[in-house]
Amino acid sequence: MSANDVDKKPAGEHINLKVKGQDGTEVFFKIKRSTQLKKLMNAYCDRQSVEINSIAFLFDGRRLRAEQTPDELEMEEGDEIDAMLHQTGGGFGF
Amino acid sequence: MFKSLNVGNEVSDGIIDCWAEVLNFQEKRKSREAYSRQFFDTKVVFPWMLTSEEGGVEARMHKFRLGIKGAVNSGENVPDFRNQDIVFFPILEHKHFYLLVFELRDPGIYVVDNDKARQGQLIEDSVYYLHKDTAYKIKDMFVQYLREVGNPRAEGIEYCNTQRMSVPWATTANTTDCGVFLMRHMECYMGKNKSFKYGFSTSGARKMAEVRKLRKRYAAHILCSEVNVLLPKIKQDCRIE
Repeated sequence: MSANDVDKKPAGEHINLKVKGQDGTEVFFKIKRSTQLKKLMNAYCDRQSVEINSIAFLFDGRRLRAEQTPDELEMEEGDEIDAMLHQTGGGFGF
Repeated sequence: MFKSLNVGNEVSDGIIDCWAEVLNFQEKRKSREAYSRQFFDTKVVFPWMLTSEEGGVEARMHKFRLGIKGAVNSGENVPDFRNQDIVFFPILEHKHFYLLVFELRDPGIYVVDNDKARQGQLIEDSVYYLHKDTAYKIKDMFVQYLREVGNPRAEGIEYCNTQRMSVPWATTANTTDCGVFLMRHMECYMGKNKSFKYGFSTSGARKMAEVRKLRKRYAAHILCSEVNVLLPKIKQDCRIE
C-alpha cells in the first residue's frame, strides 16, 4: 500500500496521498478511495517505528479518525496529510 | 494520554488540545460583557513552520490558514476573528509549555509562562524570519492572516511588541507541571487589564498541592464535558445519571 507498492487497478479508484511529518519529511502512499485511512496510518507508523496512538494525523487542519476514508473526506489526488508526534511538556528541556 | 495528568507526569499535548476544545465550547456560554476568547490547540503551528523556510512564506501560510480553519471548525466560512477579543496559542517548545496571547480589542501580545528563569528573558524579533523567537514567528503568521481576512485590528497587532506577563506564582526548577500551569492560564486569562485570579499561592508547597488538585479537576472536567463524545459511555460505565 506504500509508495513502493505499485497498484495495477484502474485510475480513479485509487488516490495518491502525501503524509508530511512534523520535521517536513514526506512519505507517499497510494490508497483506494474507499479504504479506511487506518491502513495508511498503520503503514506510516510502521515505517516510522512509532505507535499509532502516538501520532495525530490531520487533514486540512482537522484531526483524522482511523475509520474515515478518502471518499468521505473528499480528498483529491496529491492531497497532504500532516502527521504530528504527540509530545509531553514538563519544564526545562535544555 | 490521560495518564499524563497523573501527579508527577509531564502533560501530553493531546490533553492541552482537549482542553482548548473544552474551553472553546464553554465560551458559547459566556456572559455578554465578558471578552470573547478563541483557543487554538497545539496543532495549528507545525514544528517545520518554525524551523524551515522550505516552500517559502506561502507554504507556511497555507498550512497556517488550514490549521486556523480546522481549529475554528467554521465550515466553509473563513474565520476573521472580528468578534474575538483574545486569541490563545499554547506553545510547546523544548519540552516546555507556555501560552502566547493576542489581545485584539486593545492590541497587545503577551507570553504567560510559569518558568521563573524565563521571566526576565528578552523575546527577540528580527527582520529575518528564522532569527525571530517563536512568539514573533507566530505573530508574523497571525498578522499576515488577519490582513488576508481583512481584520481591521491587524495593524494594531503588527506594531505591538511581545511582552512577558508578570507571573507571581512562577516556579523554579519544576520539570513536570508546566502543562497544568498552562491549562490554568488558558482558563483564567480574561484580559491584560483584568486581575489575575488564578488561585495559585506563591509558596512552593502550597502551590504544588494546588497543582495536584488541578490535575484531578482538569481530568474530571475534560471527561465530563459535553464535547467529549465518549461522555454517554462514561456515564453508563460509571452509572452516573
